Amino acid sequence: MSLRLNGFVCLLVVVSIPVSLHAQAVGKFSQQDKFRQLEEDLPTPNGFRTGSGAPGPAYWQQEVNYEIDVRLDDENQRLFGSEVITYKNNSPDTLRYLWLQLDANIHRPDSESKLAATSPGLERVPFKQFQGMLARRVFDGGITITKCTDNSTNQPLKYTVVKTMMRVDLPQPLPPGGSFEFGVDWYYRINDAKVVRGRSGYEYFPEDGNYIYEMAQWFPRLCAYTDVTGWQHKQFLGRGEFTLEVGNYVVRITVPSDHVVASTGTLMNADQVLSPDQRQRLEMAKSAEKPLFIVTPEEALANESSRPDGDRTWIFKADQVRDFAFASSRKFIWDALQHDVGGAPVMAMSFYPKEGEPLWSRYSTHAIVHTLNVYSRYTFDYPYPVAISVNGPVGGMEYPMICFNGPRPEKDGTYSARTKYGLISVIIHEVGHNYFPMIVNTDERQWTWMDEGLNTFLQFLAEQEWEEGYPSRRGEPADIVPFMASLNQVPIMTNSESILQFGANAYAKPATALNILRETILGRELFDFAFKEYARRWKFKRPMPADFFRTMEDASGTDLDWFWRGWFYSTDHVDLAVLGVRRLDIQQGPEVEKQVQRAERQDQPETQSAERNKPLPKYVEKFPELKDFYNDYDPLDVTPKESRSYDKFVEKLSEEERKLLDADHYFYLVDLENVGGLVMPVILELTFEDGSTDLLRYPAEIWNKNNEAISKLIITEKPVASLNLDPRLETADVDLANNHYPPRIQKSRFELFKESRERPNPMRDQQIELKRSQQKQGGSR
Amino acid sequence: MNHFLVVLLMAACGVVLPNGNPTLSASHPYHVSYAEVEWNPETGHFEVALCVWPADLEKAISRMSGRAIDLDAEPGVEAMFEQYVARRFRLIGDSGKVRPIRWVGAQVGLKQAWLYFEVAGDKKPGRWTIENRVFFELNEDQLNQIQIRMGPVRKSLSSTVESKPLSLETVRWKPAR
Repeated sequence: MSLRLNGFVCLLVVVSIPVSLHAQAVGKFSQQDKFRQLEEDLPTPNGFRTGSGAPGPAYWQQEVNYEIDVRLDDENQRLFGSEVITYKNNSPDTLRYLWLQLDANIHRPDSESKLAATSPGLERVPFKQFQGMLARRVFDGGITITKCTDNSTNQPLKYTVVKTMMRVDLPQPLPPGGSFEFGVDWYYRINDAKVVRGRSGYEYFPEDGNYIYEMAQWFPRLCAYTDVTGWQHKQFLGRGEFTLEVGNYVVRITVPSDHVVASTGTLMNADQVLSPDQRQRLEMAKSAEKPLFIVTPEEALANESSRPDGDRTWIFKADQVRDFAFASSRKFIWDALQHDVGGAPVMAMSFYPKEGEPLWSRYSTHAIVHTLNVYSRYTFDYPYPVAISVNGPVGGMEYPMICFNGPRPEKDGTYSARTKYGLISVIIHEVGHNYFPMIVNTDERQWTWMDEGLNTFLQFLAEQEWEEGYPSRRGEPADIVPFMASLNQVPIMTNSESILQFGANAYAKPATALNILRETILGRELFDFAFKEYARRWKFKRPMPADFFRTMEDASGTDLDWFWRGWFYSTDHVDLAVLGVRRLDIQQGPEVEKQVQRAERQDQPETQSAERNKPLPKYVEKFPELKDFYNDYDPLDVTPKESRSYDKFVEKLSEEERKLLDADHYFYLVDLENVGGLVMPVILELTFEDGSTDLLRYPAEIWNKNNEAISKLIITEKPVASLNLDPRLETADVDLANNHYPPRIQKSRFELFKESRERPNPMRDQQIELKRSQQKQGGSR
Repeated sequence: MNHFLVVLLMAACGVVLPNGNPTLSASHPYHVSYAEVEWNPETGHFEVALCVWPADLEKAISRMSGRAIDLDAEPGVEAMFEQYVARRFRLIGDSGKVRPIRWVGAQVGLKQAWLYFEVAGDKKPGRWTIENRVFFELNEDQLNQIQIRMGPVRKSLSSTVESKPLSLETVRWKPAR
């Protein structure tokens, strides 16, 4: 059966925008291959990491256990620590030295972080900010190592500090399977986190003379040694957070006797540090339905004016964690609610000063519980005994079992909706980081998106399950459009320290990409299965990007190389356009066909010359013998040969084909252009002339032979009146103006806003009049 | 203190980050604004719809006013928006003169705030310089995306702390038949 082009119904003129190309076109075909397989770029699978994206049979990771004594000097804001580290070499390599991280050295005046920073656009600098700049210049929060010894011999170890890293030379090479135990003592000045900001520090409250300490990245921590990077000792510049080894901790935290401590791990000596009332309340929290106060607001207020009668040591034990953080203050209100996750009890707890009220007691612990429920459903059951949210000077930062979150209400206790949702969102986000990267132990210093992107994606899911219409900032495709259309971009697959527009690139874009992958490409069932499989495979292990990409394909049974290539390896954006629509007719036999052609010929306008030449005498009329067959022949007459040929054609058709020929079908060729470069599924909404609609979905592979312009044949039973590409805004298409056929004039947002202001609104006018007359009456009384 | 002196001192001490260390707020706000700018040849005005993150807007006008402003509770907050926008979003004609803005209105929601204003331009097509320095004083990685619309023609521009003012040429367009 043949289709014949009946003519252009209309052709849209689309303004072309240059398409950025990131890979050279190959061979004699001018286009780059958007579906080129990633195996050329991904690392070769091996015994440590398989081609399926799972840990291989020879997968290994180091184990590092810590026993730490730390003392918080509340008078001088200093931290003194002493640790014994047991390093177990599970690698196949013999190690001659170990690398440790000294993150506090980022606060040295000559730190690389400060020296490498470039200037932002400052014209006017408020005095307070200028003070902060000077404070950072003079503040020295660098770490001082006072001892580093081999525990077996008690002999000093040779060590070399390289900015935020420290190399410890081993007395003997450490063979595969061997262990080495050594001790490090240190101290440093704690930064005022409101002035010299960071992921850690103290906040001073001048009204009552007290401090809140949020202590993180506070002890010399072993760098990760991996099959991929060897030692991961890229300098700490600030953005690329860290990756560490999973291990077990016993930490004894000595603080003023009237402080309350919140920490990673399980409190081992509650009977020594908590009052009988507090212990009883904690017991009650195990079966409570709502959060209970362990330290009430009244008790916390009373504590503010107390003074310590010495020190008290809180002992915590944490297993299978990659880091350890704590917070301490006499200002803390403390509430708790035990919650079962997969049959295991988890104590959800919040610590905050009165300045956080009433917001914190209302939302914080509930937000923790909600996060554990949702995240565990999409990954694995939360494996730790506690989950803690602390309010202090740090805006939002995560550590195993504990996180620091900044939002507070106004001083009068009122708060805006933005503050409320800001608090709930940041708690979901930071508690959610327990899953990525605390348990799925990705390398944040190398790949920010692997924890922030995945976590922001799950944060979106959790927010949408908190309440209907939750104002999530990231996740919906439409919200990423301005960034996707912007020019100053680097791919998601960019090292943490080189990322431009950090939040948009490493948080929002991968989160949105995963949401699109879930909703539009794979569907929820396939995506959720694959995502959970990734989390299961890499729980307490260290995946790399290829492991994620491969697992998602392996478990979903879908080649997603084009998706990773487009969304993660390029800066292309989605802009698909309907270039035009052509209607086609089925050949209905020569009589019908030629009748149509004759009608078309008759529709042709007569030219001026032809009209004027018509009355002129013609030479052949004078000599009729000059006329022959061709003078009467009309090529649009049906010849017997053509009739026979059509009859034969019909005879050869199957019964089904004959039915189709007789049926009343409409054929359209839709011409589509990929303006933005990023290939995506084509989602077309057809509106028929009778007003009904139909939604057609074509996979991204529709672009696999030509990723710049394609035509798609659409067969309908009713005439189509209009087309709309991506009608539900699923793909982050940056320009919706070219998504319609026939083209629609899209009013600018400015015009729409002005119109909404100017549009007559008699109801509102009436209400205003009513109010005026009521005020008049009130005034005359 | 004279702000020129402050800038000089900053240069001398080599400390230049507006909010301290870039490590900071680990919740990492989404530092992208989006402006739709359309030149209306009938009036000669540029019609601007600027979309920003409300928390940043609150922070910016608080900083400009020297006191904490609550977007939802502050009376006359739109006048502050206007004042802020006039400082940070500028269209400059060929003569080098900054054109005044005319405030139209604002829609402030939880997720985003839209600010609407016009900038007096010319009815004749011409060359312009456009500066969008919104929130540069807050966020070192602020990206201000500008979409220019002239009828069916669209052009994307991006402005960052490092970028120079952007040039823009207005053209009349004829609707396709």
